[in-house]
Amino acid sequence: MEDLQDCNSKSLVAVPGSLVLHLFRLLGQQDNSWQKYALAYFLLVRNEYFPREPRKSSAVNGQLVPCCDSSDLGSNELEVEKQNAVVKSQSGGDSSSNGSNDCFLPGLHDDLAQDCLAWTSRSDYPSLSCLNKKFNTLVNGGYLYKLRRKYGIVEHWVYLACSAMPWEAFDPSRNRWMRLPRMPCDDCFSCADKESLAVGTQLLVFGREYTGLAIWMYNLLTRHWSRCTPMNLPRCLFASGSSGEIAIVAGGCDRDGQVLRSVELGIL
Amino acid sequence: MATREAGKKMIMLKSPDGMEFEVEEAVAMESQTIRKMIEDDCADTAILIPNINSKILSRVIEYCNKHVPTTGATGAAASDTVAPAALAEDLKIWDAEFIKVNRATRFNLIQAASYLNIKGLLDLTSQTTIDTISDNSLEEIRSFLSTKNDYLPEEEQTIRRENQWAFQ
Repeated sequence: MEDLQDCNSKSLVAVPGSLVLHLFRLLGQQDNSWQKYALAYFLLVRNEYFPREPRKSSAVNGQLVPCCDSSDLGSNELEVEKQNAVVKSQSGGDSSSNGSNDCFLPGLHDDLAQDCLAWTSRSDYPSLSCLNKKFNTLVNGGYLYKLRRKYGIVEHWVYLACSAMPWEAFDPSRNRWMRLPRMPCDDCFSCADKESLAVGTQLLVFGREYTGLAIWMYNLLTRHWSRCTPMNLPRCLFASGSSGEIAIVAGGCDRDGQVLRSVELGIL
Repeated sequence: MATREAGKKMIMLKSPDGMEFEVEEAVAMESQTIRKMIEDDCADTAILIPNINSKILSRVIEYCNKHVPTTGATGAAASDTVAPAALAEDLKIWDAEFIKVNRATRFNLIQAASYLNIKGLLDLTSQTTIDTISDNSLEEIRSFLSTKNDYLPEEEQTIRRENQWAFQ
C-alpha cells in the first residue's frame, strides 16, 4: 500500500503549487474568516492531513486526476452490508465438480471466496466480469469494493484526458493503461476547458455544453458515464476537494463571470 | 530458535481426527481465535480445533511456527542476530515454498486461516489464488477457477465489448 501511495504522491508533485496559487487568486484580497478556513481545509486535504482521504488534483488543461479507488473511502459505510442476495446466497459448499457456476471458487464457501476475490487487482475486474454471469453480478454490485474497504486494500489509479481524447485510466502498479468508455457529452464539452475531481467511486468532470455549464460523472463500479445534477450555483474555475464521498467546491465564477464566494458540498 | 526456554508455556491443539499437537503458547497465539480463548482462560486443557483435519492443522502450525519470531513477543532472540530486511526476505522465500500446494489444500488452508483468524496466512493463500487471474486469458482463468462460461454468444460479445478497454 505504501508503494502505491508513494507513487501517487509523485504524480501530485507538479500540482500543489498551482492549486495554491489558484486558491489565492480565487480568494484574492478577501479577508473573510471562512475563506481562510476553506483555504486551510483544502491545503490540509491536499497534504493528506486527513486520514482515509481520496487524493485528487485538477490541472486545468491536462485533466490530471490521481484518484484512489475508493477502497479507503467512505469510512462511515465500512460495515459490509448483507447486501446483494444474489451474490451472497449461494454457497461453495463441498462442490467439487469442474466447471460449476454454483459458487465462485468450487471447493470454497462463497463468503471466503469473495474475501479472496477482494484481493484481485481492479484492472482485472473486467476479466472477472467476462468469466460468467455470477462474477459479472459480483463485480457490478460493488460488494468487492466494500470488502476492499473492510480489509484496507488500496490501489491508486490516475485518470486523465488530453484535450478531446477519451479519458484513460492508468494503473501504476501494473503499468496498465485502460481506455474509459466515451463520455456521451456534446462537442462543446469535449473541446472546452474542464475540471475534474475524484470523489468516492466517482470521477466528476465539470465543463460547458452548448446549453450551459454541465457535470458528467463516471461511475467506477458500473463503468458508465452519466450526467450529474447541476450545482445550486453552477460555476467554473473553482477550487475543489473531496472527503470520502463528499465533493467540495469553493469559489469560482458563475456563467456570467461573476466571482462566487460560496462553497457547495455534494454527497455522491 | 536456540533460546527456547524450558519453562515456556505449551498449548495442546486437537484436530477432529484425534491428533494432538503440542505447541508453544506464542505460536498458538498467532491465531487470534486461539489467542482470545487463551486470554479468556478457556484453554486450560487441549483446544479442539473443529473442521480442520490434522494434515491441514500441522501445516498451519508449521506456518505459525515460522512466523512467530517476527511478529510474536518471543521474537527478540531471532531478530537480534538477523537483520529485519533479511528476515523478511527469508520469510517471503519460505512462504513461496510453503504455498506450493494443490488447489484443495490451498482452499483448506484458506478455511483454516479464516476460522483461526491468522491474517498473514489468509493474505498469503488469498493472494496466491487470485494471482492466477492476472495476466491470463479468459479461458485460462476459467480453467484455474474451475468456472464455466454461461454467457450466450451474443451476451459474451456484448460484455466483452463493454470491457474491451481493459484489454488494450
